[in-house]
Amino acid sequence: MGLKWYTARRVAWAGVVAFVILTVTFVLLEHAPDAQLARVQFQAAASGRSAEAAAEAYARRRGLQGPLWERYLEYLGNLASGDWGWSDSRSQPVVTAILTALPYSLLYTIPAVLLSTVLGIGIGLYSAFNQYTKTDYAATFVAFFGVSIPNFWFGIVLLLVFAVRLGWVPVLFDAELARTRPLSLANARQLALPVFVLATSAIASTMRYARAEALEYVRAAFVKTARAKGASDWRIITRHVLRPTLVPLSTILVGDLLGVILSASYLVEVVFGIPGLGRLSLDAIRRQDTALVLGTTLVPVFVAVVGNLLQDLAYGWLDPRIDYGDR
Amino acid sequence: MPGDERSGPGGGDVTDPTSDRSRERFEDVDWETIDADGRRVSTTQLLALVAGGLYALALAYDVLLAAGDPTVEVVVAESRFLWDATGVDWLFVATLLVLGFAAVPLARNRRLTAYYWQRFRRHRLAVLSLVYLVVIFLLGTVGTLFIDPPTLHVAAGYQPPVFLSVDVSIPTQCLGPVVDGRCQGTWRYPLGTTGSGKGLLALAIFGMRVSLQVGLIATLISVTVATAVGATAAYAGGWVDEVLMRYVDVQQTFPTFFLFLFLAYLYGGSLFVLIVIFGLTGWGGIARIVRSEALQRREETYVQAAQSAGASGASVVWRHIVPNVSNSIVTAATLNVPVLILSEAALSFIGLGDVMLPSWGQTIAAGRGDLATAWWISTIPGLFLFATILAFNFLGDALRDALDPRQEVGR
Amino acid sequence: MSDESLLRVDDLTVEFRTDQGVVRAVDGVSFDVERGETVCLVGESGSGKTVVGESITRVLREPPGEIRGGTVHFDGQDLRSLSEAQLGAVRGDRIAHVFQNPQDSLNPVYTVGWQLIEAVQLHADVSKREARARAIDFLDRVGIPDPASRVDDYPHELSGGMKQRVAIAMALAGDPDLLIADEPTTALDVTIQSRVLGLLEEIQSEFGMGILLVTHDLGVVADVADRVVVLYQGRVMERGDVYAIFDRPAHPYTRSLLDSIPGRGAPRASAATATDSASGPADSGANNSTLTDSNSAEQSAGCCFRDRCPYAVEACRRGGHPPLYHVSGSGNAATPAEAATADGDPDREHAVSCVHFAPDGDPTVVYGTAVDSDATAGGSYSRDGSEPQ
Repeated sequence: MGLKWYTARRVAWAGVVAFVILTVTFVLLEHAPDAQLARVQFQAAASGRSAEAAAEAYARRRGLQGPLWERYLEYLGNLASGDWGWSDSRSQPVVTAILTALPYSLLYTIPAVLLSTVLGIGIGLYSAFNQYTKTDYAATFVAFFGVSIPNFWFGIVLLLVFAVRLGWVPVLFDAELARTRPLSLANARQLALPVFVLATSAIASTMRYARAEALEYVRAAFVKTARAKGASDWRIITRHVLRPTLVPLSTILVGDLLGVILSASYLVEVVFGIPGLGRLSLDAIRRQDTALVLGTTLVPVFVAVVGNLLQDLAYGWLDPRIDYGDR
Repeated sequence: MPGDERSGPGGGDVTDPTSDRSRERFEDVDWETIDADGRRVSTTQLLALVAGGLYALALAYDVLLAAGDPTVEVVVAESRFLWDATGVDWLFVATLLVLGFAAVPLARNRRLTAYYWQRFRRHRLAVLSLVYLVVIFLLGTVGTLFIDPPTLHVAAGYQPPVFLSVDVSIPTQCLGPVVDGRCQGTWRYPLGTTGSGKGLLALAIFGMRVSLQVGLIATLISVTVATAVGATAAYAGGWVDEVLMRYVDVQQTFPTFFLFLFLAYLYGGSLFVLIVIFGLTGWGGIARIVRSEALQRREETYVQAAQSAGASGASVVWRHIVPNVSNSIVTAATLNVPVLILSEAALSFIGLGDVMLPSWGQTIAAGRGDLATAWWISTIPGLFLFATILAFNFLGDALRDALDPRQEVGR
Repeated sequence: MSDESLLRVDDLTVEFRTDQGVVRAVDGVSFDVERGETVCLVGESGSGKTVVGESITRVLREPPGEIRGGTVHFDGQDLRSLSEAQLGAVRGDRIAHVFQNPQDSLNPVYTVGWQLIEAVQLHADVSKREARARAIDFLDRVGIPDPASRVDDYPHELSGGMKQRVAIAMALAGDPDLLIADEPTTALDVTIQSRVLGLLEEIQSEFGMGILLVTHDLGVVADVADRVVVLYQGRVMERGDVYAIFDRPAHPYTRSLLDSIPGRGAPRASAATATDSASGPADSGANNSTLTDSNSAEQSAGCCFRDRCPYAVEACRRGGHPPLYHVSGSGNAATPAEAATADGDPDREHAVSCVHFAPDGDPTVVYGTAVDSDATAGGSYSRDGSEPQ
């Protein structure tokens, strides 16, 4: 089976995964106690109106009437067509709210992802090539700290030291500044800590995996062949070890790095007060805005689905040995 | 028996650390002899039955008779010992019982335990971590029974930790000595207090219990499900394997944190619900490890021997495959605990946990507003959280090296 | 050992650091290789032969390995004094390597062509197009059918024998003066083996390069060697012309090696020492080097072969390992090895590290009764199975 068929199969599988996840979320939403409904009913009862009538009106307004399968199809259809519902707490469509918040999240996640991929793989390869040296031990030790440190707490400590005590960076995030002058030095200063916090854990986990994977190849016979050909160490690392290492690493990078970045960014935004997706989601949770909670949860989920798809495809062209029929 | 001709673990011929042949393994020795007992009930099984029975009786008493009242109430002189066990407490006791009996094979085979210990001991940081975790464990389980839970005491707000001092204007009312306009910490609150006057030491210790409950119970649930699914998938193969593993694929695609977040939002963030959510959704990675290990074991002679001797499928899985992947399970479980502890702390931090519980994440969040003046409130529980996660990671890494040297980095 | 030797290795000592302590894998090994000549390094697995081969251009992994002493001269140049970058210019250009396991010696994620082009371009400033043309030419020369399309294949699409041919083609890419081939045929089928060996001989006569062949296979040695160096536990046991070694093996270890060839020599239960025919692909590390702890006084006293030697006498336990003694044609007049005799004599440079060949020793202990007769106790070992000369 060729690459095309493989690609088609992976894309189809991503579709199935997305479909299953949507179905699961629908079922979860159906069965969850509806706090908003309870509030509507309580308010109605408190003001002497019929709680049942209020519940019915609420259901009508939310489109909660009709048979289950009809609502299910509508749910799927709406999500697929980009209608993610109405955010009560923000009085705007969920999609609009998400699109407004997204740039703030990208502002610091993109630098953090680039930084952690490059540095994580770089340090991991270096460590593998210098196994059992002091540098290797130091790097491994620091990586343990990086994966273990709770990033929301790390953010707080860094804020305490660099913003409160030393005053090098602002305590509060200035959204206006980020929006109007994203490339200014002032914006870079206020983004420095969030990027650093996010990158720390991501670098650590990338480094550990890169080191473990590269170790398999550092001792490989083909590396010896390359040395015997007269290739320099740099060439061996960048050409002969990096490439085969990337194959398993691509799996880990997407699976783990994405997980780390997505969840860490949520908390980082809370700590640093960045009005991105995480903050949006948290506000939605606090205000019981279910449509927005769902929307802000589905964004990272779809990012993960697409990431997994890209990883599978990357696997296909990075490793010529892959048996397409096998997966 | 596979273990019989092998050289002893401490034997002189263990020259090549990578050779599988010269190393005796946990599972090679013990489980086979238990099997050999056949129908006879061993002492361990008897003890397990008794413990299980007592547990069931106590649980029935709490649910049926003592409903609403404290479970245990002992009044000795002035002090009153009072313990109202919650659902989580009951789960926790059950978890500890299971963990205790899981350690029986280790105690029975001292030689092998000594061998593992020897391998483990080389990692000095891991030994240190183990000591730290034992202390945390004892404080969080036994200690919390005897220490007063943190209580509101508004007058005692913002006390600095002992040996430290802050400007006298910061504490609500300085309980320690005031020197040069600075309020010194007192031994009454060795780690200081929060804004509402809760002692941070008590908060930290009760936080240990929450973290341990989340980490251990949910991991035990996960391990149980993962073992069942992984071993079944590997043993059954075919479409059963396909369906189970595809499900794991889907579950693994869903970013764990957001799954927790979404479920905690929908179903409320009580500790019990949180633990169940963690336990029932976080097993995918372990299931994959169990499956791939079990697939290798399935091909080994003793499994085929058991099959040709007419053992049923379930019995082969339970008696031969599961014990033989136990090393991988132990390692994976150890590394699963810190992930869950961190997740719980994160959810509590953003306010999705149980507001009534003294979780570390909760305390960190509580201190955020006071960073400029009372830095210790967020910092101290965070240090405990950090140290605990780090210790579990060191421990898991060393265990992998000692028990399961084939895997470099587990997923 | 003349000064104009292509390769001269002197007193080479290599150690490995392991969990069990420092292991001396190579201990004072000396030999040389002339232009156009094939020298075979022979020994069982763990004898240090691979380590010697890898120490010459330091492709050896350091750590855990470490070259502790000795000199390596290549074409008059002291290789040990070169920097890593300078060595890089020698590797692949003037000294090429072929390793044992063709399965692993090619990078699985690059095409054969990519790897060949890399080998060409590392040492010659040519365009990619030109390099590719040369790559195809090399593939053709090592006998790969349809090289123009094979050049775009990935290693996993080739058979083991084909991969080894590609590895040889890569080694040839820099037009080397010396080829170090480490068990190039061990992992191959017997039929492929002889073809690869034939290819090496062909190339040698075409390019006139020296070959250092590391092997445990005495059949291969008999086929291709001009001279032989026998290693045991990192030390040279015996060295000399291939005819001398096969006709009059002097060292008890060499004799036991030759006895282990099926159908040759008389079986002697006391010295049933066979080379390890199944030496694995990991023949390079310290893991299967015989663990002779250099710190252990008991081990280092006396001849390192005495425990397995059927002719061990009290003298074997004294002092260090015996030095190399010259073996004369008749086996009587024992002189120091360095005093070489007339040219053209197959016994020129025939030297052995055994007390029985010392000036005051008695070679007949090893040879049996009379030495001048070919019908000695150990039998005669003729090359190619033909009558001894």
